[in-house]
Amino acid sequence: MTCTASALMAQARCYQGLPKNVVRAFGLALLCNWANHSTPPAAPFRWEPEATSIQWTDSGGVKTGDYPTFLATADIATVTSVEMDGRNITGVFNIGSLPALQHFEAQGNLITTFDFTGSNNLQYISINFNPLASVIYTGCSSVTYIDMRGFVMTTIASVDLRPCTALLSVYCDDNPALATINANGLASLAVLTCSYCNLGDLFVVGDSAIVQLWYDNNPSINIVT
Amino acid sequence: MSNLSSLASLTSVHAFLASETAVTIVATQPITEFLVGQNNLASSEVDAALVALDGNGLLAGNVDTSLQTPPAPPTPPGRVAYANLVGKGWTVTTDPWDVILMDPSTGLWLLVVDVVGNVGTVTWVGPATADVILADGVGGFWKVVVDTLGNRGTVADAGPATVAPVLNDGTNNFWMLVVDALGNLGSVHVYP
Repeated sequence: MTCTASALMAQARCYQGLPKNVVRAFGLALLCNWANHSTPPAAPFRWEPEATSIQWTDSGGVKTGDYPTFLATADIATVTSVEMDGRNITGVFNIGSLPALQHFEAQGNLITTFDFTGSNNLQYISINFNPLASVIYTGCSSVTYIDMRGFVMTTIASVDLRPCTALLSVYCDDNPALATINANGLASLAVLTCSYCNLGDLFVVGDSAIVQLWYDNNPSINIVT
Repeated sequence: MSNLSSLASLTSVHAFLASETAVTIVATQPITEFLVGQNNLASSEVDAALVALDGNGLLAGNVDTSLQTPPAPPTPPGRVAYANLVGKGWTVTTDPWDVILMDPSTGLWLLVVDVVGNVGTVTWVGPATADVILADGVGGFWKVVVDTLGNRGTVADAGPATVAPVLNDGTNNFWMLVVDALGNLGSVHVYP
């Protein structure tokens, strides 16, 4: 069935033997159900300020442009790489709406929040030197490399790396408010560095592949293996 | 207090300034870099780490347990592991114990302990001639030395400082280091 408002009302009118008010009520019920459960269109990937140019790669090759140019020319379905290092960018949104994204770089900007929810093809994330307050990795099951080293302005308090089940290397150093890292169950994780944070708990239960564990200058650390 | 012994693949640990009272590792881990200075480890923990690292059999690693609060020099079991590691090409840095002399040209250490593990005192007894170099007092000290290749040697006490030569290093070409009462380094002699 085509799920449009007119189609739903047409379906309701098919119940010929029923009183009009019942048909109308049935039609309204169908409309409400449609409105409540239909999938809204995905919000597009964007960044602020929109006048700032970034670089991306799609099926047409490497391209550069501001946000209007991106909207007009990018083949959203085939964008595999986004690079926006050192551009004074203040916000980046809906990264998960780039279904083919594998490589994301946004080092040295002014971005406080990164939400990678749904970026299940993403393999490489480099977001170091941003004033991080929150990073969400939900669904990032293909990520192998994360660099989220901070600097003195970060306020991020916790990181949950458990969705990153393919993770090989993660660098979380220099986030002075970072109190918790949960990396439990990451069977491939080989490198974890988190020096110069303020860690209480570092969870690495089941991470038997860790080769390099660096946690200098965390005066209250408790490593849970 | 961190027990890292379940991380079976671990090769490198950096944990300076982490207020650690223990960082537990085991000899089955392939660790070649263990930098845990500026913590609160006790000498027993330092000993355990050195013994574990010596036990893993690997060469040319780097271990730093220095600048603990309070100072935590290795005790005799740890010192044996220390010397073994140096002999295997490791760079080993710990809190110092009483007598450690260093050759400024090679960075190698001369350690002096007696048969029960007590630290000995080395005193300057005159020019660095072939006759008299080191006097060990009356403690019956054993001298533990390393040569320029990093091999560990043992030198038996040869009696009062007037006996020549005091140190006998056999055929391993050990370097003997001396200091005067002001801490100045004396001449270095090779005993073939």
